[in-house]
Amino acid sequence: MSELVLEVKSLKVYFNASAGIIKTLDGVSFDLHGGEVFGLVGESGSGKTLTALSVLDLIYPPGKIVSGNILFGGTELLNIDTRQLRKIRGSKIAMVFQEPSSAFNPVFTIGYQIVESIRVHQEKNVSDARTIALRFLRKVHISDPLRVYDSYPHQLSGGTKQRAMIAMALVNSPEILILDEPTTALDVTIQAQVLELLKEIIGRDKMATLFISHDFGVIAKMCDRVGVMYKGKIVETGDVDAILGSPKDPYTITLIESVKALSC
Amino acid sequence: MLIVECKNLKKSFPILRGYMRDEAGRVMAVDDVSLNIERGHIVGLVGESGSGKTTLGKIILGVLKPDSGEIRLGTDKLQVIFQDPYNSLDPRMKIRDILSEGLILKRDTEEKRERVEEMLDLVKLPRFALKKYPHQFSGGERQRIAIARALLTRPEMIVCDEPVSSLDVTIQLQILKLLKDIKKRFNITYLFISHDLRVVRYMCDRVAVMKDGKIIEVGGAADIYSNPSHPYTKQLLASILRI
Repeated sequence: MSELVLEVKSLKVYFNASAGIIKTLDGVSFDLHGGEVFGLVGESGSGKTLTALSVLDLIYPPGKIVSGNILFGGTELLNIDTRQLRKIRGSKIAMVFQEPSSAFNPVFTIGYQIVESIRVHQEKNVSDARTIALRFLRKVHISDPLRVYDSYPHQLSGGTKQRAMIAMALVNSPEILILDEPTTALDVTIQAQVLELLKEIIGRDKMATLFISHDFGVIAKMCDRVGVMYKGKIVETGDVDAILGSPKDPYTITLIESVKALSC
Repeated sequence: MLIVECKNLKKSFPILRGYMRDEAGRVMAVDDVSLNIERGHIVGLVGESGSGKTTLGKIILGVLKPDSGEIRLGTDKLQVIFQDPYNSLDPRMKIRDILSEGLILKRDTEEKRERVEEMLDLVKLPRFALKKYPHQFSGGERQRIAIARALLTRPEMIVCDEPVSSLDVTIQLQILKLLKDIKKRFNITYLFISHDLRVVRYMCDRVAVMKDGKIIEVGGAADIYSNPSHPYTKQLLASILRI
């Protein structure tokens, strides 16, 4: 297997609530290798998104990373100082969020936001950054990149916005791409197109990808390996085909049975 | 026997632009739709967001008046189950009050109590749920409460508008099974609105596909899924992710 890019070891994230401590992530461990797509699947509240946010150190109070390790190419991300972390966040590790309409800032154009993301991490002047932004908008198969560049988020359809979001994640050539339910907010036909695009990009650039979804259909299409999350733990990890074919954990079995009962 | 008969229904909404909210045009939410629903059937209405599914459902419920066209109903006992069980239950009301509200004209409090409790058993919720508030329940439990509320007035038809789309897949299956059981037991007609073709296949006898306000294809569920005729239906079916 290719080199280890990301290693998450017994990660624990607790939330302090009035009713007591809630163990939202209770010892999560997984590895991500170069060029591999690792899926996290589970129901709402199982801790999928929180796992992704922990990798980027985006957990805010009352949430707290209590213990564990997150090793990015051997570097511990959990006690790194903020300035160094900012260099990694958005450039070496990029993330695409579920809801494209709320992930963009509504008062700036798409182009402005992509250019900003480029110039934070690379020494480029505005016009060079603009050229790069347009090139990446074309890369995600946006047919009229100039119009999209000058548009505000609310002027675009959900599918186009999500393509632009993907372009923004790619502009700094990340080593790890985190996709958090990237197609959940989209209609099925658009979902199919965006998944096709992601497949193409991941296959071409050989990025290590963490793919989060509640939909086993999406996971089966996109991922090599998968971890099934339940109540803050990864209850089962393995190759997608192996888990679909012969799940071991009782929760995984229920989940896959439900999905199969509803498939047609 | 038909329970719903729609002929050439049209409904448009204004598109408002600018500071003065001037009408810049109209969007045809439902555009010349004719649809018949047979008593006792489960009819699926599928389509992507913005295709007009919910507007058509609301016209059938009588919540919206069509701009033109005819609608004839074979019953006045209609009920509705909404998508989001977090918004469709009043957070200030206890479950007992939510459930008995539909029976407000019943004087007999004893009968009211019995019917509420009977319905609670049917949707498999414990008795002590009656004393609680909506926020104390999970999404699946809340949807059971919404189902119980809909059933209490003994409807002949229920418009289910995306009843499981905000639920996890294991819970989806439980709720769909419950809806099927209820249908068998009380012979209720469902108009089942959903964007999820897998869910519609599981539930429905007949399917109508909507796109841009129009019904582009209607037929038996098995027929449409195995042999779609409209290109858009084909595209939708090709987008289903299988495992």
